[in-house]
Amino acid sequence: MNSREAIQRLRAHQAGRPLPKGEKRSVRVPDPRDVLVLAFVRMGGESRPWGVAFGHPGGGPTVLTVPEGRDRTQVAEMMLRAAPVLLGHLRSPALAPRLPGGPEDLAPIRQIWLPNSSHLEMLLHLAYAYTFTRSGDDVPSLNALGRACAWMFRESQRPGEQHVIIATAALRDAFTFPAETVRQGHLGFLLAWLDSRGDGKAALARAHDEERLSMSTTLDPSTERRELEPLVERWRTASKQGADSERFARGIHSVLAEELTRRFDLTVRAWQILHEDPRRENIAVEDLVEEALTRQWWDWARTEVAILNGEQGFVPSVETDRQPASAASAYERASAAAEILGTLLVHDDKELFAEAVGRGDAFVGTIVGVRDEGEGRRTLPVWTVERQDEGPSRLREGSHLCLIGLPKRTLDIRTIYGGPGEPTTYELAITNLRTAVRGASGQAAIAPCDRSWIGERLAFTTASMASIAFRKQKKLRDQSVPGAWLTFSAPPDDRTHRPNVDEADADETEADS
Amino acid sequence: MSGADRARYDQLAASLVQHIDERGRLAVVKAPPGSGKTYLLLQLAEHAVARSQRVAIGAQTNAQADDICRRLSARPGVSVARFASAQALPVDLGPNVRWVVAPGDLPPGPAVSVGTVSKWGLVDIVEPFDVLFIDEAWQMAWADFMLCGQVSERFVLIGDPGQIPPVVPIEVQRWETAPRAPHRAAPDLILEDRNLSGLEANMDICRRLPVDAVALVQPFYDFPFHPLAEPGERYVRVNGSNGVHAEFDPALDLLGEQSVSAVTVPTDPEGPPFEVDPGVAALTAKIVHRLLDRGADVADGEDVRPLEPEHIGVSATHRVMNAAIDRELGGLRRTVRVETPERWQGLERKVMVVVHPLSGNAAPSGFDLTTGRLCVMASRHRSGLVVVSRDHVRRTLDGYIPAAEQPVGHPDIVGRGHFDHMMFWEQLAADRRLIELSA
Repeated sequence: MNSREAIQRLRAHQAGRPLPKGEKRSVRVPDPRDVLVLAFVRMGGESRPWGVAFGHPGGGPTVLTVPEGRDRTQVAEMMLRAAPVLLGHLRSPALAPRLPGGPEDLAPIRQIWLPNSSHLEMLLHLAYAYTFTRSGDDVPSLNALGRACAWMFRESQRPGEQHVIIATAALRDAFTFPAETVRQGHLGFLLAWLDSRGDGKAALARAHDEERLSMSTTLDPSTERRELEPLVERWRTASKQGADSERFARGIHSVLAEELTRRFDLTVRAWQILHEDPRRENIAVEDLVEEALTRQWWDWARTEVAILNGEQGFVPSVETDRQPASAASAYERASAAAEILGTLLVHDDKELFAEAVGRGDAFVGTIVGVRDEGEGRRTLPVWTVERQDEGPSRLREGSHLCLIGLPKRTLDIRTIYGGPGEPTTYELAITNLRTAVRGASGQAAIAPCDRSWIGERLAFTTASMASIAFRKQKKLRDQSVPGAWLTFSAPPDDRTHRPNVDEADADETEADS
Repeated sequence: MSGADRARYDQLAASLVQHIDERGRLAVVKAPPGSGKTYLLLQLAEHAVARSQRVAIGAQTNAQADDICRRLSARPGVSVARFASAQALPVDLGPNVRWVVAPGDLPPGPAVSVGTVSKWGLVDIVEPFDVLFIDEAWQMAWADFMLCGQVSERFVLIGDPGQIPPVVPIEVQRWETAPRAPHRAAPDLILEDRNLSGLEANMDICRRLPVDAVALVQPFYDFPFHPLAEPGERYVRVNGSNGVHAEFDPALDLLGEQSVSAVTVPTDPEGPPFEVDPGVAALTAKIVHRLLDRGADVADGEDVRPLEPEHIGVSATHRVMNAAIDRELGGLRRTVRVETPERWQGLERKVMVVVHPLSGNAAPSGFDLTTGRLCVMASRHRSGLVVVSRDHVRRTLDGYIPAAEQPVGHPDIVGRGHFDHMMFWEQLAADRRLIELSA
């Protein structure tokens, strides 16, 4: 938490209620049909789900449970029943009326909403369990489910992604809550603050009550011990003896369904609050959505199409990227995504701009000089800009900037000067949009060499360097370089240190059978 | 340099020269701070050119690339090209240094071409070089090193493994267990890979630091090195106080006997200030002013001279804190350089005044406990270092329990960092170099 965030939280404490954070919404909140809410519960000590609830906002959830959460066959059968809904929602090529040919066939974006980060971890557990499994009634479907969960988990780690929404994180991004950070991981706690009317004390009391109810994938230990354990035991005994176990299964389902439905309903409520939020979407979100669909195609759907066509689609390891080029490429892509997220949204949100100033990545300055260093017909406009404040700065000579509101007009810092008591002054060479943009209006319509810029007060921020990361990613494909013997060499066999994922998975599935 | 030191250095240089002559494909050289690694690199580059080899040098920043060119310009027999961005303004780096922006204009024959590793990785190289030297190689991530595979088939990497690892702008959990984690320092991955064979060498002399400072930073390294300086030949002797008394004066007086002292100020019972610590910022600036007001002689071997503002450097980990210190420096702004430790890498001053990286951080994360920043801050001075901190740091370290959260099979960097941080304070306390202020 930086000082700006601390001040915002103090203001929320003073107001006794959550306060909106940011001028605009920085995430897409689609209509109900494009949102699938997903919630899990699991048995204590187990990694796979005991029950799952899913559905769209506005409709009740479908709740699936198994009597014995440790029985992997039962769990796999349950997940096979859930798989068509999840895969269909993601526009899985296997379930689409016609095979997609690119990102455009995956639009409009469809999201998965999860209550909190423990439910996201369940996607990883499902990926580990099913991506490479070779046992089960319907192995291809289980593998497809595993691949989808693996992709969703990987995608959830990409900065600016728009497919997997963690309800608690989405609310924290949209509001500043008058509460300690550690308590803001509980969805019921956050919603109690947002839904309470009256003074802060009443909201706090309700939030405290909500906080007592488990929202993660694990159940309250007392619920599991007192209500569920006896039922599971009776179900096991009855099953072994060939007696009627169904009524115990119904009892287990009833308890789990109540837990799952609460998690589902609260996630729907989080979606509803953000859907009804009067703040409009940041204009840069459209770019983020476009990129999300591109990634969905390249990182998941394209492989699914290949597999459907009987080809050997590349399925990445669930754990990590084992090939050096794949790892470096994914790393560069994620770096580019972080760059885009960090530099795009700021153009349409004054609060984000203020944060960038606080971090030292942006400033407001007045143009005090304009000159053209170009020769002949070539123009090279240079602005002299005096900074208005003396806040922190990470800007150096050579840093790349752009104009707020006109990100394509980029500038390089040539020199920084200013003695004690003088304002910091920058000499900025304009590197892109060096002339007026024909047919444009506003700043873009005025040539940077025009002396009417003198006296103008402008906001500057760091320009996106994502194009460099993308170029790096592209170059990483070339393995014919002279140093490839080292840079693309096969990594050492690390199985002595870590279990091979595929082998571990095979061991598990053998144990199942 | 003693005869034994000289002999070891000559042996190291000779093995690397032989490696160059025999066209060895890979060499990795570990060096402590201020060991003259760039000097060695230039020596090797000059030798390679004399053997008719076409040499590329990769630096981590443009400033480092310019510095290498300036130093090469003092070697008149070497033809040098500074490979730079088309957007950058040409800089006069010496008579034998040509400014080149297009890969096709790089010297085709025996010469040295110097650019940043980022530049080398991004352009399309027309004709590969005979060898690529990489300076400050521990600052280079594996992903960036991979891109340099187009420059040459042969690599010589030289760097300081104790410094700050490559900057990682994103969450890297996905690659923590990758056999070639793209975010990790390239030389570390090379040295860990038992399938890769190459020349591995250590420089073992620190030319920059005084004797006691070497002892203080040695635990941050996994190879031994020793100081070139003799005991007592580097010091900062502060003049009389002229009747004016400052509570931290004893810390300045200590610099006449040993090169490192520390000043702590009490921590508020409610915890240290958030992000910017105005009290510590003001104290840091006061120490700088006081050193200059009292006047001091700075000894660096036989070179003894009065302390000037440009001899002093200041460092704190956060930019906002540096901005606060900068403001407090008043008339000394921009003469006394104030930078983050990341920016201080590769630089030195006669005297450094630094804010301890854990000062104000009552709940450090695992990342905070890695020692790169502290190591850089404690190894920039030639004669004197004053560490400024809130007094909670020892208590904070005492109360911290490392959780060993690293992936299976990976070293416990956080646990080791925690231990090294503790040892750093213990050493200062044991040597009575901690001055605890009352308010």
